Amino acid sequence: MADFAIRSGSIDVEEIMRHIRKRIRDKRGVDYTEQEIRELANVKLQRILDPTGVRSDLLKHFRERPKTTWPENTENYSFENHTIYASTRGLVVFVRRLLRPVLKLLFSPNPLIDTLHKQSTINAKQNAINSHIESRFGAKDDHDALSYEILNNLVVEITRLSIEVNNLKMQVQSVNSRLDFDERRARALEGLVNPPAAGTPIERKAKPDTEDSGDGASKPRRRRRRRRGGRRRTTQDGEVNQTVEAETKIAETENQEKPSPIAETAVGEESAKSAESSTEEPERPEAATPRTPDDGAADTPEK
Amino acid sequence: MKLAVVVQRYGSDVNGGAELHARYIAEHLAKHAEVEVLTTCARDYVSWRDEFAPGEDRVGNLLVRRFPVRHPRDPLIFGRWSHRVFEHRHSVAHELAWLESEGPTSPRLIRYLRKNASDYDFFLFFSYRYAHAYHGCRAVAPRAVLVPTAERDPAIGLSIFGPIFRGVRGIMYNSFEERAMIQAVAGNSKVRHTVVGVGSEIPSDSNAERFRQKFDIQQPFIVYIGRLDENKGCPELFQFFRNYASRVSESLQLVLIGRSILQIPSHPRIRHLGFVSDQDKFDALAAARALVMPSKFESLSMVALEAWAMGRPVLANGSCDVLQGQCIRSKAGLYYKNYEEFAETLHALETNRPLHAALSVNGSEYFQRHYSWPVIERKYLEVLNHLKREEAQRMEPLPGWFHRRRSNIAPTRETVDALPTGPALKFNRGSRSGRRV
Repeated sequence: MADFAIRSGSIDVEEIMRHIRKRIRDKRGVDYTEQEIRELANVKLQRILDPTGVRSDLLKHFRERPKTTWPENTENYSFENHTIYASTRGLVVFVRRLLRPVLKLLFSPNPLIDTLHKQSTINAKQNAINSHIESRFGAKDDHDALSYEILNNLVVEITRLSIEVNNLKMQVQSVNSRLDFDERRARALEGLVNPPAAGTPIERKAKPDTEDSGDGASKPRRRRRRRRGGRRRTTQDGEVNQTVEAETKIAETENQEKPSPIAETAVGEESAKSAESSTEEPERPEAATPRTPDDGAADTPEK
Repeated sequence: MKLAVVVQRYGSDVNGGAELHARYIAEHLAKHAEVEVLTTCARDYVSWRDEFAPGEDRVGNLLVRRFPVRHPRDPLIFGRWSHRVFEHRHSVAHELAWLESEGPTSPRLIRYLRKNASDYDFFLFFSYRYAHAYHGCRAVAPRAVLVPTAERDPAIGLSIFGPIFRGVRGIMYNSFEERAMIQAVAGNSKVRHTVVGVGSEIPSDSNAERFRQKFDIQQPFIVYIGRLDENKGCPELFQFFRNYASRVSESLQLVLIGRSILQIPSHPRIRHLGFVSDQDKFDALAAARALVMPSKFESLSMVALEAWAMGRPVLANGSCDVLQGQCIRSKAGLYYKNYEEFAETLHALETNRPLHAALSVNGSEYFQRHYSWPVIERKYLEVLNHLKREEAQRMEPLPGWFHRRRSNIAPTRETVDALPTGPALKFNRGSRSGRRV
């Protein structure tokens, strides 16, 4: 919720409202404004959502739907016994009243009056029924509009949430990759601090024989790299060589499992630096350096 | 100077916005001039049925002349004509029929005005949209001063009112937004006018604790004062407040004061007190954290002015140009257009004490500067004195019989929709006309 620094006597309500609106935008997410989210909700949701069952054009569909229209009730009339003889002029009424017996000699107006009177009653009832039906349908239309509005809001919210879930997934992947990389790095450094018990130069000399008899794919490569490091950096100081060895190990573990592109960008410079140790020199093809069991012995530091 | 206040209803128990406005103005101008009130016998603004006796009456110290209404309003016919002129192409004759159906039609009042026009210096007509103001302004145009109390509704787009806005001697607007709207629709910037509004009687002995004890309200609260009506935006307020109460605040209550014509939701933190006395109303304002005004259509909110006078900030609906403009100009209120803004602004008013204090001080100063009675009276008297010295112009006559029946006027809703919107914030001080920025 909003916090404002208020200096007495200098309030700018518009500025406060701008601040409040900015906070609301920030809460919703910096990447998407309300307008953008609505635009996203109006495009094909299949690109974002899975499963793909939600219609994105609900409101449009509703607006294009033909509205229930009703003809206006026709104005009713009242028809009484005297209506056909009525007039706004008193003289005409008087004359008609005088001549009414003559008229009744020619034809009987009573059935006509009765029929028109009944018709007016029927009209009134029908108008009432029409009004009732119209009001019921009007209420239904209002309800429909509300339902569509709710559905549309749900679609907007689903879009917003799916975008957020995607973002969170990517973040989790990135964090996972970094965590893995850090763990491997930590293991390598631990190995450096606590060298294996059979780490004496004499034992190392004997080791290549046994290693060769086992799996031969990855371990000879390690030896070769060690040798390259040894060649490049003269073994005058034992500590220098130990560092080189640690770096080589890190580079190896890095090569064994490459992080995802997200993790790569997240890890950044650290991985680039550690990778340098393995890419300082172009790797030679294995065939160019025939290996002998003595290679390992030649690689050992001189003491 | 002899003045007549002409208003559709009048009485000590008639509490409509424009009617109360008219009563206050009449009572205060009576200190400076001889004032009479000319009105109808109606008490109810829906039916305009004659309820007061015709003839002379006294309300307070003022002489009131009441005239009977020719016929009560038929809501069905009025609704039909409203639909015709607001939504369809129509003619001047249709608009006149709409006015006749709206009422209150009192031919005797108009005859009295014509016959006795010379006895008065000026006639102050309240509420442009009613029949008494339209026919009255036409009857005594050289002495007619109009207080339009116009809102942004389709009636303002009716073509019959254009000549009235252009032909009266002076116009007393309630707000800059009202002025901008009427000038946009009628092009009457040359008519002498001022933005004045109305003051209020603020008691000096209001007591917050008295209100809390009387109604047993100990928690902090915001207050709504007015008719509880859908047109006033109350359903939206209820919905927003319920959300706010459940998600944000743990103690804030909403107190409602006024008659209700809708269902008030049952909620432990919404209290409806019904119609209360003026003393209770001002005590409530003194005790409240803020006043909330959810209405989208107001020409001037008197209760907002009273809240500012009491040093209480206002939380207004930003969809109402007038309220938004007043909040900005007074620097004494915040406004909202959706729930998020409602929650943020209300939370700021509830918790940010420096902000609340600054808004309160600004509100009080704003009321004293613009809406205290000496200021209002001075503005009225200045305009009337100017008008005394100026020449009167002729009002445009009604078009001829055939022209009146030509259906060549666009639906007024379209006209109103095309009018400029938003608060009117900057004005050229020298000119009479305001411009929205």
